[in-house]
Amino acid sequence: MTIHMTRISLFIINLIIITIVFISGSFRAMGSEEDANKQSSIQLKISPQRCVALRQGQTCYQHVEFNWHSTVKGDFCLVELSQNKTLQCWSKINQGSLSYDFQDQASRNYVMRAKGSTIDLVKQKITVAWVYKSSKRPKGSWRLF
Amino acid sequence: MKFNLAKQVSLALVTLGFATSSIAADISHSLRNNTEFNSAPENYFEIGLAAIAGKGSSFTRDDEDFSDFEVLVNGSYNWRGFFIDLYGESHTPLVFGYNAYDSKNWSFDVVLIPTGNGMGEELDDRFIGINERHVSVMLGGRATGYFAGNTLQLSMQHDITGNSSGTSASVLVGRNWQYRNWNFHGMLGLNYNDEKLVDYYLGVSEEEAARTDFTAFTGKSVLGFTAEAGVTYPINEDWVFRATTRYGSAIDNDSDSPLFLTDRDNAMSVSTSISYVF
Repeated sequence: MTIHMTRISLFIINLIIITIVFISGSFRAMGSEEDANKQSSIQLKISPQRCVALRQGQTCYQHVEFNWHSTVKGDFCLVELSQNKTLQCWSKINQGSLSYDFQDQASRNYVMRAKGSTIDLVKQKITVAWVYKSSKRPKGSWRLF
Repeated sequence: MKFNLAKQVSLALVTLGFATSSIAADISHSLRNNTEFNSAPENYFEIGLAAIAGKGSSFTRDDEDFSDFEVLVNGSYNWRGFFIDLYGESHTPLVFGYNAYDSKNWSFDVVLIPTGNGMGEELDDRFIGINERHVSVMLGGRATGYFAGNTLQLSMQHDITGNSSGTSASVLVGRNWQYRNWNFHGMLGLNYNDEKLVDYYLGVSEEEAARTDFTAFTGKSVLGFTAEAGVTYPINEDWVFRATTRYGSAIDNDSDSPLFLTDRDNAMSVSTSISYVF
């Protein structure tokens, strides 16, 4: 009888512990989402956001300034999306800037990520534009109308 | 298109030549737009304002120096190999053509180029009594090659109207460079205008001499040298800035037409412009 009562007590204790762990885990999960929400409020500004080349297909050059600001301090990285190339990372701060010499033939997207993460917290674009469109002519053949 | 006929005519005739100047402009156009090899800019139209200063011969000025503001009109329309190029910074800015062949390094165009109409009574009272000169329509071909970043263009045309029945030819070589968004270009060339072409526009017949104060003059063929350097910069998607310097001289020309009020064996200019691209 005593042994039986002890098993019931252990079961109840375990149940209580599991419940506490589950509830505290849930609270922690809610806290993480809250943090993520805070992190997702990060802002990224690029100035200027437009690079103009003379003709289509030309490499466009533009000195740009990246400025970011987060509501929480953390480790963040600025990443060029198409090549997944990290331009710079910052540690334990909630704002930063980077002067960057943009040189590209096409528009590029840039994102802020938490260090080590692949989740894009915010995304901005540098658009490459041009004055004259250019089109390839057909090659290697005579033509008559 | 520059709306200064006197300057157009004088610069074109004396040193740069009719057809050559337009062809030079054509290669210059592609050079300064930094056009890729074997590619063509799509249809566009632009209008701008230019300031130009320089020295040159003139039918109407008694001073070799000139400076002016001018309206520029440039454009290009391409359709199934046919093209119309309008390049106002040339002296004969209109070229009709057909791109008949394109390979990796060469292209060949059949071109039709109306020249300027030279001078007549409407240009200046000095020319009262001089026969009116008409437009020559130069039909011919031009081959354009691309070698190690250089563009080479060989061309020859002949007047098909019978007005001058003249022939012109040119050899041009050019190159462009890009430094950041600044597009530089340079070009050198030789051009030749035959005796018929020169005489038709610059000659003074015995009959004309008899009824005017001009002395009789027979034009001779002219071999000329041209050089051009410039820079083009896209201010934004709609506005383009250009600066250009040009030089042209007659290498082999012993004829000084009495039609010129101011006569030089060479011409040079510096110009800058801003254009809106539609």
